[in-house]
Amino acid sequence: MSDATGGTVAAASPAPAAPEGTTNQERVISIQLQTDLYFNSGIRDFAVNFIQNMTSLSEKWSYRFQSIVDELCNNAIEHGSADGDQISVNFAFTDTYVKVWVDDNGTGKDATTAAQLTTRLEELKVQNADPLNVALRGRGIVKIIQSWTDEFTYVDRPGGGLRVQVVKYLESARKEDEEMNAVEGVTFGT
Amino acid sequence: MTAIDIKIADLPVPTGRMVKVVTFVGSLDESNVDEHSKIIYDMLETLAQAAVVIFDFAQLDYMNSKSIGYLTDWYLKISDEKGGMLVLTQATPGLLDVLDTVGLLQIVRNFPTMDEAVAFAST
Repeated sequence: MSDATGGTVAAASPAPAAPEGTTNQERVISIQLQTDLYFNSGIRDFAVNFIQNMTSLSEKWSYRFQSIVDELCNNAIEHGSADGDQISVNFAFTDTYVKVWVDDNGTGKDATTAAQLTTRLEELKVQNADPLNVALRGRGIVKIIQSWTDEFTYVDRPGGGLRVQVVKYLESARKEDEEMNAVEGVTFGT
Repeated sequence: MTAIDIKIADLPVPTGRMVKVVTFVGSLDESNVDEHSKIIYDMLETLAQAAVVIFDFAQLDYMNSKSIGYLTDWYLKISDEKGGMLVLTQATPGLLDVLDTVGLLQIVRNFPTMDEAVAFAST
């Protein structure tokens, strides 16, 4: 399966149509980040503020996206980018979804393809069946990112490197909030 | 490097059991967790059998997945190698959410207040 730019799409599903009276016009914020873990706390803070100020998602989701964005950036810096390179961190939102994607240039010593990562993902899913049977790394993508997003996509970028993209639909987030609140009888943060 | 301060204190309890309270202030992330994990590993070296270790997360703002990996390793070392217990207290809703998502709250107990954690450690 190929995307419009010729990259390989490991997994994808079409965005749902916007509900009546809303728009699916994406508004995008893109940030170039030097591949230095020092900057990750700043991008995490941005993610929290982005969700709180630009979307109608609950507070819980601002902290969830803090983790999602951090894990995406960590992977891009650790595996996909050489020291001194840059990654691109992108945030988009509409009335129906929030999308985040991180691009690296494939210059890292552990750079991998979308197909290789998809295989690795399946191995990690097996490991994560037991929370104690996971190495230091391995929870980020499988348990955190995939549990909290509706779409998770690897794409080989035509010029080299990877794009890792996640999408969360606002409606599914609200349903999860309602279900959690019904179980716990409380709202997040109380 | 992201700021993190880890302090360890002994907590005297009537039973005479060794109880350690570890206080985290700041965030544990990719930039600092490898270096600061040594503080915890050093403490574990001196831990008595059947000790209770209380991690006070009241002022811990963030843990990334690798930090959670370390937390799991510390839990295993305390419980399996020392026959002791690791408990958490005062974790923020955001931290509880991520720990629950990765399945750790099925294994490691969290007490809402320090008093409850200390009462548990004192038994």
